Amino acid sequence: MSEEYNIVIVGAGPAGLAAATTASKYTNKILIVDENIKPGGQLSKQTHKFFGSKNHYASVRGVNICNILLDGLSKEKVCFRPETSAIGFYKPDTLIIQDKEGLHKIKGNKFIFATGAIENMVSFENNDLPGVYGAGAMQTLMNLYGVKPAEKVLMLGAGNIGLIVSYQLMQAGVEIMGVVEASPFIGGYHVHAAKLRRMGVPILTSHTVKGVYGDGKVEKAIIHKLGGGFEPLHGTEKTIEIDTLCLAVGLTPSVELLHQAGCNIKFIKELSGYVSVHDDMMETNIPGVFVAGDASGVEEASAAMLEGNMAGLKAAYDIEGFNRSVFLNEKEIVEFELKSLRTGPFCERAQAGKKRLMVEER
Amino acid sequence: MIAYKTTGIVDMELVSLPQDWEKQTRFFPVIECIEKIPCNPCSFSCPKGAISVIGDITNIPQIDFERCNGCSICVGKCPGLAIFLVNPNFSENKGAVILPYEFRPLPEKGSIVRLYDREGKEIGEGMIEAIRTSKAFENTPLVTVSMEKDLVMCARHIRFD
Ligand SMILES: Cc1cc2nc3c(=O)[nH]c(=O)nc-3n(C[C@H](O)[C@H](O)[C@H](O)COP(=O)(O)OP(=O)(O)OC[C@H]3O[C@@H](n4cnc5c(N)ncnc54)[C@H](O)[C@@H]3O)c2cc1C
Repeated sequence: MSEEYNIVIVGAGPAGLAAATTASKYTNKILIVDENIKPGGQLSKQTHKFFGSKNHYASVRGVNICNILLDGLSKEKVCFRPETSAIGFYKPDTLIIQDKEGLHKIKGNKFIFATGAIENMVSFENNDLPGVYGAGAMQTLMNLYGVKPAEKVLMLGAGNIGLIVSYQLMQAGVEIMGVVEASPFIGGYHVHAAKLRRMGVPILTSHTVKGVYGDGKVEKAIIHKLGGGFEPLHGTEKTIEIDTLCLAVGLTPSVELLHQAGCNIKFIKELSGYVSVHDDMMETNIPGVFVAGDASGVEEASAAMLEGNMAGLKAAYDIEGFNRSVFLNEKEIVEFELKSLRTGPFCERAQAGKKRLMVEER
Repeated sequence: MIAYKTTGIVDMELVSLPQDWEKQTRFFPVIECIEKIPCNPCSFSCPKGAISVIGDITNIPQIDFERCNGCSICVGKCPGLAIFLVNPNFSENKGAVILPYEFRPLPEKGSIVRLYDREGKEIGEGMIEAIRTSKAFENTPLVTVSMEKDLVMCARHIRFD
């Protein structure tokens, strides 16, 4: 026996929730599955006020954005199943999900994969020593479970995640011994770096971690300077006493399901890794299969929501065939906002990546 | 490459200030947001329409000092905690700064705190004149701290025991 839906969405982060919001304006029988206990994806861990577009709840704290999106969903039209993993897709209409009861077959007319991204790892001596954490794990411990995850932390990576998680750790009473960044420049926004600097946290650009050392757990890190070609400069080693090294060294789109489903997967550096080829309305080369959010290239929550809106709109339109001018009008608004969002030095990269994705497709 | 990309410290030449700012006798905003990032809540936060992000969302906010009435909502709304209100002549011999402070415990009104500059260097002492929390500030507490007049463009963080 299998259940049937108009639209099945995998992932209840900003992209998945936004897709459901738009789609439910025009159609019903929408299912969202997420492997987490709580919906919201990255949002549910973010205690800081989001930067981004006011139209997409910027300035509201991430965790509250999540609640706003959820409250806006109609319970009659959208069904949410937490603690449910999607583990396989079979063309043209079958998704396999797993929950506490076991495996189930779900039939759908359209599918939207909004599976987000996973954290990167880096290699250095003893990187498997207890006390080496990903930034996401630290956030889950402190912001979801209220556990102070460390006393003295060295952060690796001065992108927005490294900077923001450092700040959140300081709010939790953790000491940040420094932020180490291999590139000669701070990758995240200046405003987030400035918050740490005024609290006396050093940001060491052109530096990296040589290794972490200790008796069964991290007790110290040795860092060193890097030259112009990212080569270690001998004699610049410095020891820092810490109990935790936190890694914030980038994210990679989660495309495993799309790959398994048979989507055309391409490596696009500007989008942070392998991504599924998609058209301007987020539909992949498999008709009826859409992708949205970080899974289609790592960006930000505003972009994830807009991509979700787009995928939800097209999926609903293909099912219901509602008024074409309503459809085109809504599409135009989303396109306009996405384009505006992807200007400026930080977002041009994503824009270039999306362009490459579509050109290579043709 | 611009220095702030390696130091994390704003280049004050890129920050707009009112003419003759040292002579001002009321609070005015100092928006230390100098990069083209996709962010615009400040422009919607101002009830007087004094802040605008014109065109693309990645453009830098523009401020019209004439329209500002010092309500502080932008200080609370800015996700980058990059807006400060400065009054160089808060009283006859003191200046004051309103800054966002998202830590617990909060300082007490009337207490003495240590002041820190943008590099986290201790630069002097100040006195807490007011602490305000409100939903309008997205629950970011805003602290008004008075200090020697020549510190108002440097003091950006406080600590106390
Ligand atoms: C520390 C930090 C700070 C940030 N700050 C900001 C900010 O201020 N402003 C901003 O705009 N952006 C910010 N971001 C980025 C933003 O959170 C992400 O871009 C956004 O969450 C991406 O949304 P998404 O829906 O694509 O993915 P996610 O939020 O990652 O959600 C994906 C969801 O899919 C689920 N999932 C994945 N695979 C499966 C599967 N097989 N089966 C079932 N469920 C699955 C996951 O459990 C998850 O809930 C921040 C990110 C971090 C980490």
